Amino acid sequence: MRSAVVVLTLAAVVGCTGSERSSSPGPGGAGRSTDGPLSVGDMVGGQSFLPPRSRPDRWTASHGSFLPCSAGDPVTLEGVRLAGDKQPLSVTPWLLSDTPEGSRNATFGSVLGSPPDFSEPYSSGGLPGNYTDEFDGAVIDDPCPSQGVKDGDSEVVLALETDTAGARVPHWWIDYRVGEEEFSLRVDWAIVLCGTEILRNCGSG
Amino acid sequence: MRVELKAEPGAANRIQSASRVATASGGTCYWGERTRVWATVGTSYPTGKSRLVYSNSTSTSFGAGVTYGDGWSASGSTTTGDSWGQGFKRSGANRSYRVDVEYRRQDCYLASSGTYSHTHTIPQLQTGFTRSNRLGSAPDMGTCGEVASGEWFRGALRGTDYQLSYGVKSEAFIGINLSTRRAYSSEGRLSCFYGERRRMCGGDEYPSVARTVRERH
Repeated sequence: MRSAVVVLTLAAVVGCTGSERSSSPGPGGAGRSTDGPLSVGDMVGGQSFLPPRSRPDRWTASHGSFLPCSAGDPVTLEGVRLAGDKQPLSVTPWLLSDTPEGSRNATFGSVLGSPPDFSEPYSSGGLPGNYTDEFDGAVIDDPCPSQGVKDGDSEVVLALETDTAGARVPHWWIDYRVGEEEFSLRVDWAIVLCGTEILRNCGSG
Repeated sequence: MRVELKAEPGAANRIQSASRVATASGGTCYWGERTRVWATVGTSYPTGKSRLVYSNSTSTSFGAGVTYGDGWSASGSTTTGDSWGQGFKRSGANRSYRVDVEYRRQDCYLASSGTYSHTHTIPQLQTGFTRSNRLGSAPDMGTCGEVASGEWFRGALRGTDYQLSYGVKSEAFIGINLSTRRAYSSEGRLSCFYGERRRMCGGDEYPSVARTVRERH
């Protein structure tokens, strides 16, 4: 069990659109190789979030369970980029670590609200632990496979904000570097925030 | 494996009834009887409603069997394309998803003497018939995470496939059950919808990569 996070710079997020082959670094990732050591687990699937019952003009959903690890040298995170034509208003990547023993859940999963306090009135709270939004510059040195946040490694949590229209992110990338080499990792886990323009996967089909 | 030869089983009659010949190393095999069996290709234990969707991008492997001497044993598997596609109805019940698979017998004879050697049973195709079976209480799975209200779905191109070592219900046919292995895919997926927050659990693995999952309140 090793510490996973070293803080360097401020988080930065770049949105993008379009569909790309899984071997592509995606729009904005030109020049980056997808053949790097970072992994967040071989998860493919997704999660849709129904809006809060109070129907606020803006609301945030957070999705975690992405377990970063390196199959080689330590990697330095540089941000995330999102695919999809219906982008959220904003996205903030967080790193979660130090979940206390005895927590009911072994992984963050998905909740309404945003780290670190989940203070929104519609939020049911998140997994206890240490949250940092200083994602860019963080160093991941946990060897693969990750042992999970409950066993001392870290977990990536994305907090996405939307309005009543909703948002759909079919997949996304984590940009990172190893020394001077730049890489992108495509994550095939869809995140859907249901709204007036986003109905699929929202209970109607 | 040591080959224990049986007494000559009336090869001439078998050959006469066979429809196609296959050549195997050291001998000749003859296609024979066809049999259909049910094979489990997934399970779900929802709090709300769930379903499994098959598509032509999914592939499923079914176990093959072989008999040398007195009994049958598993012998590899064959992958069949799920080109027919099927969306099981949404249901709130604990259940397994089954598909109908046609197997065919293949009797093999030694080239040197023409003596009967062994028999294979090999999956040929999926017929397109499906059924779901009610299951009892969900197995205990302790690797859990919170899930917000909405749909959670698994479609893994690289994650862990669904596997069941006794998935093919071939016991009445050959005395043993054979295995199934089904790859999740982006369109062939297991989905669970619930209008309230709940927990998703895997066994020893996180739900996003576990072979089977269950929901809990």
